Amino acid sequence: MHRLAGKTAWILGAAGRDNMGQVIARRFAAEGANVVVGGRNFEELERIAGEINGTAIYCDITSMADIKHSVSTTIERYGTLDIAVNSTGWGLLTPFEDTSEADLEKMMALQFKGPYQFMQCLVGNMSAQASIIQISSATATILVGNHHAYIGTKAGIDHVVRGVADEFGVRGIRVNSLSPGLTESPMAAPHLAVPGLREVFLKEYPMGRLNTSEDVAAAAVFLGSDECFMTGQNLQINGGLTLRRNPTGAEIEQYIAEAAGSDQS
Amino acid sequence: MSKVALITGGASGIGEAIARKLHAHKWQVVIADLNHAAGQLLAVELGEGAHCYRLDVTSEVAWQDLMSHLVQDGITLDILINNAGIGAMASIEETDTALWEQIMSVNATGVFLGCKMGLAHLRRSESSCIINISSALGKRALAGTCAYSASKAAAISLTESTALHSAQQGYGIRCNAILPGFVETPLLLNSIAESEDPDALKGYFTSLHPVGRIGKTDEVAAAVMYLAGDEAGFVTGIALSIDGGMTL
Repeated sequence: MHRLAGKTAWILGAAGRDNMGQVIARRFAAEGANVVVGGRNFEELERIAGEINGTAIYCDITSMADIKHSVSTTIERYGTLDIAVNSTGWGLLTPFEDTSEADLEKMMALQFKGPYQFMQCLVGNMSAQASIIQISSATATILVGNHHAYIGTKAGIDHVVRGVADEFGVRGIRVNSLSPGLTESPMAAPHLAVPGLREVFLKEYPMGRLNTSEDVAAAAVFLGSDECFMTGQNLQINGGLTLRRNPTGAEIEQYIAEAAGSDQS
Repeated sequence: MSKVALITGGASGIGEAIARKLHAHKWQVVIADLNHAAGQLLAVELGEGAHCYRLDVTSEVAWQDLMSHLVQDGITLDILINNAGIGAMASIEETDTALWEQIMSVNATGVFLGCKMGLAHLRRSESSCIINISSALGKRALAGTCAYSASKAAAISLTESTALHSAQQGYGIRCNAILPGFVETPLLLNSIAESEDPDALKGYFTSLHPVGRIGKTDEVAAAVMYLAGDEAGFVTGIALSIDGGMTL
C-alpha cells in the first residue's frame, strides 16, 4: 500500500527509541511518504532516519527558531510539506496542589505554546492539500488523577486545533487531534511496570486491551491521505475508553496495594 | 477470503459510493435497498461479488427475512453498514406527527434494527463491525432539521450503547458512526437545482463548511474503508465527523 505516495511528512517527537513518533514515521515511510523526523536526541533521530531513508532535523518544540528551521529545511529538501505530526509530550504525574510553578511553565511550553507555534509556523508554509495532526490523549476528554497540567494543556490545544481548522480550511489545510488512551509505549513503560497498574486501567477498556502506537499510526495515515474530508476533530482511538472513564485514584491505590500484597504472600 | 459487507440504502447516493469502493477493494457487497430495481442494476454492473436484496429497514420481519435469505445463499456478513435514510427540511412547527414518525422509523428505528441484526448475525471476529451513517446534523441541528437531526442523534447514541454492549459481551463486533456534512449526492444536487435560487442555496450549503466546499460521496466511503478495516481494530463507539469542519 502506498497511500501517502508523493507526500512529504514531518514527524516531531520521533527521537525516542520505538516511541509513538517513530512508529508513525516508519508507517508513513512504508506508505510511500518522504519522512522528516524531529526531536531533541539527534543521534537517535539519525538512526531512525537511516532506517526509513528519511531526514533527521533537530527540533525542540519550545523553540520557534527550531520549528521554522525544520519547516524551511524540509521544504528546501523535498519541495513541499504536506503532513505534519506533533507527537511530543511530557507525561508529568503530580498532585494538583504540589505542581510547582517551574513544572507548570515547562508543561505549558511543551504542550501548549510549542504546539501552538508549531501550527502557527505550518499554516503559512504547507501545501494546498495539507494535514496537521496533533497527538492528544483520551485524558483530554475523560479525567485521570494527578495529571492536571498534562490533561489541561492537551484539552487546551485541542480547542486551538478546532479554531485553526475553521480558519485555514479554505486554504486546504486540515487540522485534527488523535486521542489514544494508555499506550504500550516507552513513555508509559515505567508506569505499566508497576504491579497492579496495568490491571486497574485495563478493566476500564471495553475492548480488553490497551492502546498501541500502531493504532495511532493507522489513524494518522487516514488523516494524512487526500481522501480524508475530516477537519477540526478529535479522533478517539482508544477502544471505547472515552465512553467510560479512567480508574479513580482510590482504585489505582487499591490495585497496586493488592498486587504488592500478593507478591509478598 | 474476501470480507462481506451489507449496505442498506446501497443502491444510490452515499450507499452506492460505499458499495463501489468496497467492491473495488475486492470485498463482497450486499446491496439492500427498498429500490430493488436500482440495486439490481448496480449489482449487475459491479458483477462478481455483488448481490442485491430488497429491504425495508423499518420492518423487523423484513430484516429477519433478509437474514434467512443470506443464510440460504451461503452469505455470512462481516460488516453491516446502516446507511439508508430519509430527510426533509422542516422546522418543529412544520413537522407534523406523521412526518416525525416517518423520519424516525427509517433513521432511528432502521438503525436500531440494523444494530440488533448486526450483533445477532455478523461473524464474530475482530474484523467485524457495524457502521451507522449518521449526520453532522445529528450533532448540531439547524432550525429546519427538526426530525432529521433528532433521528440522526439517536443513531449516535445507539452506536455508543451497541459498542459498549458488544465489547462487554466479548462479541468482538465494533460499532461506530460516521457524520457526514452536506454531500454531493444526486438527491442534494437535484434539490438544489429545483430550488427557487439554486446558486444561493448551493452557496448557503457551501458556507456551512469551513473548507469551502461540500463533501463527496467517495469521502464518506473512504471513512468507511478506514473504520471497516482491521487497522481500526481498536476504534469503537466513536462518531467520526467527515464534514469539512461543519460542526466546528
